[in-house]
Amino acid sequence: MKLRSLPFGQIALIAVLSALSLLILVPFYLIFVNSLKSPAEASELGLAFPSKWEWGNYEKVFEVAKLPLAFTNSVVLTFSSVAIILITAAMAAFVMQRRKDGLSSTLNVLVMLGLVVPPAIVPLYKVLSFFQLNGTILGVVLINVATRSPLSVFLAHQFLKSISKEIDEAAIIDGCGKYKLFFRIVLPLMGPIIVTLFIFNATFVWNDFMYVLYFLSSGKQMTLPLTMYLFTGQYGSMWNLVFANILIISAPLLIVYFFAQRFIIAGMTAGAIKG
Amino acid sequence: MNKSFRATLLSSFIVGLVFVTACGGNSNESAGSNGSAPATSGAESGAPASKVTISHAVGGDSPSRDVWMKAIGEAVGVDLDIQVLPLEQMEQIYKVKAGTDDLPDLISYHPGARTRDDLQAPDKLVDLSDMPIVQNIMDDIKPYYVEPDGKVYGVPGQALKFGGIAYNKKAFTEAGVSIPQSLDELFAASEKLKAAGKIPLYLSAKDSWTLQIPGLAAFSYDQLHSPGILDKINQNEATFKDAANFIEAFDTMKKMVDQGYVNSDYLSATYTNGLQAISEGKAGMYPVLTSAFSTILDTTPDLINDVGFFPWPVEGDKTVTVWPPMIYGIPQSSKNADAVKKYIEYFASSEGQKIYFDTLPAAGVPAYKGVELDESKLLDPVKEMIEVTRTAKQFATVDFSVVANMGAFGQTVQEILMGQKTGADLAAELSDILAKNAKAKGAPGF
Amino acid sequence: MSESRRGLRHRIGEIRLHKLERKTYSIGFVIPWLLIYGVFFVLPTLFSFYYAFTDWDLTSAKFSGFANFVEMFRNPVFSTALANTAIFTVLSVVLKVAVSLALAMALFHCVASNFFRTIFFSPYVLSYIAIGVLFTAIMHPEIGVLNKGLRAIGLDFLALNWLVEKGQVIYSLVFIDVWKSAGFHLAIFIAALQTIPSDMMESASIDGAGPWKKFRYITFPMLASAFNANIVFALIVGLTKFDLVFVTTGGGPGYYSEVLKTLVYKQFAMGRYGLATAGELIIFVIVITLTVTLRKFLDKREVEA
Repeated sequence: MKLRSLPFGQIALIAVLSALSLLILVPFYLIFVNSLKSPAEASELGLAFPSKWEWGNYEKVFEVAKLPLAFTNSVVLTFSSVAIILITAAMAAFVMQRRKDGLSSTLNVLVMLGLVVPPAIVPLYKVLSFFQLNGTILGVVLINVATRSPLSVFLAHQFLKSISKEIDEAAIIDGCGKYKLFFRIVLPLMGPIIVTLFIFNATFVWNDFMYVLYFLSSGKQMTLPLTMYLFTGQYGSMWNLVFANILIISAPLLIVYFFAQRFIIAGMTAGAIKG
Repeated sequence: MNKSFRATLLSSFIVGLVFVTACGGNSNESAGSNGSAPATSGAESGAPASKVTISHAVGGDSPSRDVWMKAIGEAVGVDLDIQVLPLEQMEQIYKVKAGTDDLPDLISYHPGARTRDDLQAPDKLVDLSDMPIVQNIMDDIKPYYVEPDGKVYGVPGQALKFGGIAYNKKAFTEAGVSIPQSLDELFAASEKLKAAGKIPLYLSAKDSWTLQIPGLAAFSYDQLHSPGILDKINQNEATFKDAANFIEAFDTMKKMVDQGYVNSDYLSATYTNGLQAISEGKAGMYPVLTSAFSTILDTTPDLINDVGFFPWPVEGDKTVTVWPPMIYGIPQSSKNADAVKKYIEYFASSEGQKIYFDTLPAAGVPAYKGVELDESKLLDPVKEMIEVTRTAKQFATVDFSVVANMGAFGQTVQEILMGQKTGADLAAELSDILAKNAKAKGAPGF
Repeated sequence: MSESRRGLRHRIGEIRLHKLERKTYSIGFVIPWLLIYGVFFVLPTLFSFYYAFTDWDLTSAKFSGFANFVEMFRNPVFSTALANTAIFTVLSVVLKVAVSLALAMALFHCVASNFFRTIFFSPYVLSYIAIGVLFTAIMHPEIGVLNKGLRAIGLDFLALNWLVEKGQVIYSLVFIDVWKSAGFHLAIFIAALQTIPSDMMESASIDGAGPWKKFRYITFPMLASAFNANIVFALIVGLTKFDLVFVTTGGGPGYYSEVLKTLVYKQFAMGRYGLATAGELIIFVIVITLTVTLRKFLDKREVEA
């Protein structure tokens, strides 16, 4: 990347961005610092340093929330859901965007429906039991796919508009079949949006607790977001543990995001579009 | 996007599918509705009486719950698979589960009309009337468990809770105040507390459910002064507008705000703030459900004996509003009904109750007769609660006893406190909502 | 080669291409998605729409025609909820798109973009419960960090009761939502920005174009579809906002921050499932109408860009 601006411009830019970052860093700092206080201190929810650094809070959360189990469940659920969403949505969006016929517009409307309407729990339940999928992780995966995919289809669709159809045509003339065209040529070009969608979907599914609550009923199927309810309740909450829990739940996502981004950078140099 | 990323994506897709089908099959089996669960309790295969696992779903947390439930389970040879539900969603989830026949083996839900309606008890729940412990249920709350036709769909699964005022003894002593016996004395006490630098009455409007307590506590006085008012309301022959004490409770709260007897940040104060204020003595009084004492015990155990309890102070004979404990019930769809019955029986027995109260010393008053609690282990607030049961007439809270859901009205109380509505307006609104919901259910008379 | 013969070969090529096109963009690609989506979403949703016209208690449904809809519209809180939702939506859409676009452009030119990108995206990974708790704490009028900070630098008059005061609550909620989601929209913009061929930018520089011209004639047009996607999505999210409001204020105090979705939820909580579904249907109609209209408008401008 060419150095377009003077170093001074960069410094100013970084200064401004840093100031804005404070808006984000301060709240996170709040969570962190309060996760290490005693229950009484933590209820004040202030910025002060803990009088004693209670690292034991994390231990307690680990134990009570049965973290290894919850973590495993979350990983399996998220992984499977996201993988299926990405593949099916990318394929569908590709065809929908390239074909300009009646079928496409009907599908477009269907996608819009999915973006707007919340899923209806009870009918969903009946569908699941019809397939004998209630109480299974597979059932929840399919529900996640069904309800989250419209957004991915929508965004992939928009993104595909910027990948010129002429590339397709060139490839077809060169004798490319449909699978080769999609998997070898178009999909790599969709890199940025795929990674972005990966992050979005992972975030949604990882943080979701509604579907897990309604459709999984065993304590052994608990996922990470639900562990928060072990420390909060109508009858009082232990904020220090809640915050520790929040950090534990959010950290993997942040790590995933950080690394996923690097893939985009790496891929950028590999496939710039020529005209 | 380079090759290695694509390879990763493809392989994760495959791995994902494999995982899902493998784990999908697994979790279906361990979802707890079949007879034996050898995988869960380790190497039990070959044992003559293999451990049954019963599933249970309960709202909200209670760190010690695992402890006493497991103990009771062990005593009867039963394993528990507990799903913890967020308290706000608990009712929703149970209702949906009832509608889809997916109830856990051991049900924990609000008693009385709520069980009957929300969980469609006659169709979905097992009749427990032949269990001996039914005879042991405290008389005052029996109507909430025994239906008019003699069927029992649930028995008490917790301790009794009261609704009233928690007070800080040290604050009271410092201000030279004794327990108010009437609303006038309530104001007088508040004046003294204010002079001593305490917040007379703490209100936590942010958690709007707490604002309902004074009204619900006061309604018992209406039941005392106008006998049969509840039945009349349920048949549309009377409405909340006729419940004078109920209405007055809210107007009293408003007056207290106006006279500066309430914490100035009441609109943003939370339940946690309230508990802190009352246990530390910054506040003199705080309307609570006695489950608050369990929470105080968990967070600040050394302060637990600084707090006490008294009923909403209306002149004359006292009443206290009881929240009948959540039920334990069994769905007809359960395959482990016998194991669950054993569990419940043991829970209600003297030994079981002992385990329960030992683990949760601030839980409240036992719901079953003949349970002897170790007086020396009792905490002060609980002692006062037991005293109250001997001196005040108990009525169950009205929102469990009405013919249809009357909704949560904490938000409207917020409006009253802000001066936008009056207690009478609230009563009118509630009557309206009740009428609409009763009509939708087809209740006679509406 | 003569003109006419070249023209003919071209036309044959076109026709062959068209047929090939249909084969290449085969429906088979859509089937996996459509199957899952259709069975596990569309079907249940259509079922639920039926219940909007009944008195439903989860097992039995008595037909009641439009009664639920009438009751919903007659609800005294309905107009408040509608107004609040409108304010929330308009403000949040404008702010989210503007802020994320500005950030995207800033990051595009910044060497430390990866670092900042992670920071600005991080609020998005927090669940709404976490955010509700966090901001209730931060915005507490007395002990909250925000007001404490304002008082410390002498701006006492700005230390409002953020989540309580009538006019203020909705704006505070907008702020929180933008705080959380700006990163999401930012990510979409960045994805789009990364497809701009660098040689296009270079040749423009060589041709003497300054930063504003580059933005107007290269960057912004390329961003057009991302821009529209962000607006549409923010619109839908704003109109159907539930989690944030429910966890932070519950619609209160009083009904100051009640939005359509929280109002509908309360009907669910009261056991009026038919009524609540009718409410959902009303929201659906509002959202679909606005979204489709907006999309039509935006798509036209996108083509022109």
